[in-house]
Order: sequence, then C-alpha cells, then structure tokens
Amino acid sequence: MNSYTENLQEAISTTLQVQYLNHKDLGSQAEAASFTLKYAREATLSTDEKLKSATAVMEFKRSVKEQAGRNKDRAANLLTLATQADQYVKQSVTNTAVSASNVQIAANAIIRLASDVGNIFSIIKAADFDSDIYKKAVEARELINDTAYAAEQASQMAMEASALIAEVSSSTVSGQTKLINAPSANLFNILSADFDTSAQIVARGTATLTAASEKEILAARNFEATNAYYKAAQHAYDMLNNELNLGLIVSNITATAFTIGFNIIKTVFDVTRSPVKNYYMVLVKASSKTIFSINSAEELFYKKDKSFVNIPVASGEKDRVNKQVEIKNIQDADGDVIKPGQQYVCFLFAVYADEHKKRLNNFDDFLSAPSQSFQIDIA
Amino acid sequence: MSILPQQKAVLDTLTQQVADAQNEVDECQAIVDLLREKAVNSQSLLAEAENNKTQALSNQNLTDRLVQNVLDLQNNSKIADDEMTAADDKTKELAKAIRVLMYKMIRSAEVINKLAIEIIKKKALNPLVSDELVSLVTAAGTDANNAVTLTLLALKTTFMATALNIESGSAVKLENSQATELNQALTGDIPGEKSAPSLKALIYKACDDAKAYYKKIEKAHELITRELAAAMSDLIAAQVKLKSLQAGLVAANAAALAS
Repeated sequence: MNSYTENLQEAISTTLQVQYLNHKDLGSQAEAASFTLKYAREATLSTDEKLKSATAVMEFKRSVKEQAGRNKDRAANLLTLATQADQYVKQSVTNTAVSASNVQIAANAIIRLASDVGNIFSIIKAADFDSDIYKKAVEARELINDTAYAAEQASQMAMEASALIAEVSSSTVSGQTKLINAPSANLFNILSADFDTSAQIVARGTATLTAASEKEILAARNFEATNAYYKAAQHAYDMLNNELNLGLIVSNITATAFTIGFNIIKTVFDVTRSPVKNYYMVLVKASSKTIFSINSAEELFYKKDKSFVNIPVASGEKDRVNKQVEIKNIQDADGDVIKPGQQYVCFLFAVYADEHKKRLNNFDDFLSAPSQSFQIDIA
Repeated sequence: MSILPQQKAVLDTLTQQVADAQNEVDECQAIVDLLREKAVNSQSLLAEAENNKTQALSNQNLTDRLVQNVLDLQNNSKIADDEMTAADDKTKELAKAIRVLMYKMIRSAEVINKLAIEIIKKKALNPLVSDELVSLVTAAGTDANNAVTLTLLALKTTFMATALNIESGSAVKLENSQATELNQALTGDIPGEKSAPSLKALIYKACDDAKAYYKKIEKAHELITRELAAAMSDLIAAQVKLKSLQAGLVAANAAALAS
C-alpha cells in the first residue's frame, strides 16, 4: 500500500474513532437523562398518589371532625340539662323539706286537738250526759283519733319523701357532665386542628404536584434533546462509516454467529467491475484495534493464518454484501479462540485481483478501518 | 520523538477506559443524588408519620377516657333517675295522704265544733255542766281551727313540692336519656341504626391507620437507606477506579514521551 492510501486509511480510522467516542459519550448522557426522567416521572406519580391519599385522609378527618362536633354539642347540651336538673332537684329538696316540716306541725296540732277531744270525752262520759251528746262525743273522738293516726302517717311519709329527694344524686351527675364537656370540647379542638392541617397538606400537595409535573416536563425535554444528539451522533457515525469504511457493520450477534455487512469495493473510474478477488474478515481484540495495520494483516494473511475468514461474494452481488459468519472454528488475530464477553472489532481484508495490481503497479491489498466494537453473547 | 504502535495501543485503551470510568462515575453520582433526595424526603415523611401516630394514640386515649366518663355518667344518670322516681312516687303518695288527712280533719273539726255548740247550749240550760268542760270545749274549738289552718298549709306546700318534684323528675329523666344517647353516639351502640360510624370507631380507625401508615413508611425508608448505601459504595468504587486509571494514563503518557 502506498503512503497516500496509508494516510487515507489512518485518517479514516481516526475520524471513526473520534466519532465513536463522541457517540459513546452522548450515549452516557442520554442514559443519565433517561434516569433523571424516570425519577422525575416516579416523583410525579408518587406526588399524585400522595395527593390522592392526602385527600382521602382529609375527607376522613372531616367526618371525624363532624362527629366530634356533634359529640361536643351533645356534651354541652348535657351539661346544661344536668345543671338545670340539679337546680330543680335542689329546689325540690327545699320545698319537700318545707312540706315535711309543715306536715309535722299540722300533725302536732291535730294530736293536740285529739288530746283535747279525749279529755272532753272523759268528762262527758263521767258526767253521764244525755245520750245525744255522748253519741256526738264518741263520734268526735273516733274521727279525731282516725285523723290523728292519718296525720302521724302523713308526717312519716313526708319525712321519707324529704329523705328520698335529698338522696337524689343530681349534683354528682352535674359534676360529671363537666368532666365530659371539657374533654369533648378539647377533643373537638384537636380533631378540628387536625383537619385544618390535613386540608393544608392537600393544598400544598396540589402545589407540589404542579411543581413535580413541571420538573417531569423539563426532564422529558432534556431527555428528548439528549437522545436526539445521541441519535444524531449514531447517524453521523453510520454516515462516516458508510462513506469512508465500506459501511462495515457487524449485526445479529448471537452466541454462535454474527452477520457481517459491507459495500463492495469498486474502482473509481470503472464502477461496473470490482477489482477485488477475495474478501476476508478478521476479528481483532478491541484493545488492539489501533495497532492492527495493513502490514500486520498482510503478514498474517500470507502465513495462511486461521483468523482470516473468507467471505465469498457472488458475482451477481453489485453493491452490498451481508454474510453470516459462524463463530466456531474461527480465532482472533492473536490466535485466541473467540470468547464471550471479550470486546472485538472486525476488519475487512480485500485481496485485489492480480490484473488490478499490475495495472496500478501496486501490490498491496486493502484493509478497512475497524468496525464498532462488539461482544459475543454468552450461550 | 515518536510513540510506538504498542504504546499507542496502551494509551488509547487507557484513554478509552478513563472515559468509560468517568461515565460510570457520573451515572453513579446521578443515582446517589436522586436516592439522597429520596432519603431526605422519606425521612421527613417518617417524622410526619410518627407525629401522626403519636397524635392518633393520644386522641385514642382521650377518647377512651371520655368513653369511660360518659359510661359512668350514663350509669349515674340512671341511678339519679331511679332515685328521683322513688322520691317522686313518695311525694305523690304523700300528697294523696295529705288530701285525705285534710278531708278527715275538716270533718273532725266540724263534728268537734258541733259538739262544742251542744255542750255550750247545755250549759245555758243546766248550770251544773262543769266550767272545766266548757273551757275545754272552747280550747278544742281554737285548736281545731288551728289544726285545720296548719293542715291546709301542709297541703299547700306538699302540693307545691309535688308539682316541682314532677318537673325535677322530668329534668332528671331528660338528662338521663340524653346521657344514654351521648353514650350510644360516642360508642356506636345504637340499636338498629348503622348509618354513620361512631366517634370512637372513627378515632380507633384513625389510630390503626396511623400505625399501619407508619409501618409502611418505616419500611420504605429502610429500603431507600439501604439502596442509598449500596449506590454510595458503587460510587466510591467507580471513583477509585477512575482515579487509578487517570493516574495510570498520566504515567503511561509520561513514559511514552520519555522513551
């Protein structure tokens, strides 16, 4: 190969390498942007979820607050009722005591009268009055004795009533309603404040959701842009590769085979005929790709090294060739077997027809720039 | 000064590796930053959940005490109501007795007064009727009047007391029924009514929910903390790798140029 061609090939290799690095760098950026977008989306979703649950919590707290409010009102009402009942009962105690005392006084007067009547009857009986007066005296004595007995009973009853009404524990009840009213109001205040806080959380959550979705939109835009640059870099690489490196591509990589694709080499001045006798493919470890040159390739090739794999090209194929290559039975340029996980690049080696070589008076062959690096899948 | 192909290969590979390591560090850093933000977030959520739980527990305790007080009140109201009913019944009985006493007293007074008139008439006809009897009969007339007046007063005050006792009784009864209603509304034991959950049920539910929520957040926080720790160690490993590769590149460059 003359130095013009050599210089060209080196320029091609360098250009592809630079673009490859650029492409890889942008790929990382796109990945980072996709992470950011993923988290931003998660944040929006979780904020939305949080807002929904906060709203549910708020609604629940509203019902609690309402119940507590009703409870508070009931307790307050009860306090009023119990206080009134106690006042009534206290007045009743006084009134019943007055009544009992009056009944007692009346009973005493009646007994005194009964004793008067008893004395009168004794004298009438002793003085032997006429039967009419005697009869009346007997009746008066019987009646007043009966009345006196009734008065004694009433007095007894009045005492009991007075005792019973005094026993009514309305003041205890009234005191207890105070123990209920204050805590009920307290509980209501707590639950009401709790509801207010919850309502504020919902309001804040709405604002946060807006902010989160804005953040997500920004992240999505950033990802879109970064991804576009990445795609553009990929496209640029493909274009460079296509124009400068025969569009050399390794694809459909599996554990056992891959496909190599390239454009057929044509002479510049006669595009109908290919000057190439045979195409070969050689795998080189990616770490050695910058030192694998036409010289090392020719040296290996003419030693009939096993690393060179013939790619038969039918004469019918005019522009582009895609050939599947089996991995078993081939080895790399260092003579090692092909291992999964190892990064390789692929070179295309073309042996020009003798006629072509003679005409140019140049007996060198052709070596492409490396393909993008790739690795064999683990079976 | 030229760099040999083998040296160039080493330098290129190293440059490539440094770039890769830098990318890895950037990725790790991005993940760590995001996880750290999440961890801060979940920490504050956890604190909030803890506050909620404490508040809910305190509410539950307040409610428990309230429920106990209301139950006591309901029982005592029932007792007061029973006591009032007993007193009321007794006063009503008394009122009846006093009414009967009043009639009896009036009838007795009438008979006594008639007897007195007969005796005084007799005294006018027959001076032998003893003076003592006449004076006794006169005193009995006064005492009878007095007894009627006092019985009438007793009747009035007893009926007043009875009327008031009826009012007191209904006040106590109303208080008792309201206490029962409060207890039922508070604890939810309203027979045949299942519409709204009671305050006690709601507050217990709030407490259970707060406990469950706290557990959930606690778990999430633990998970994020673990993830963050793992991401940090990844980041440190990537940084160390980057540093050593950078140093390697510098050294290789120097060696290549020196040769």
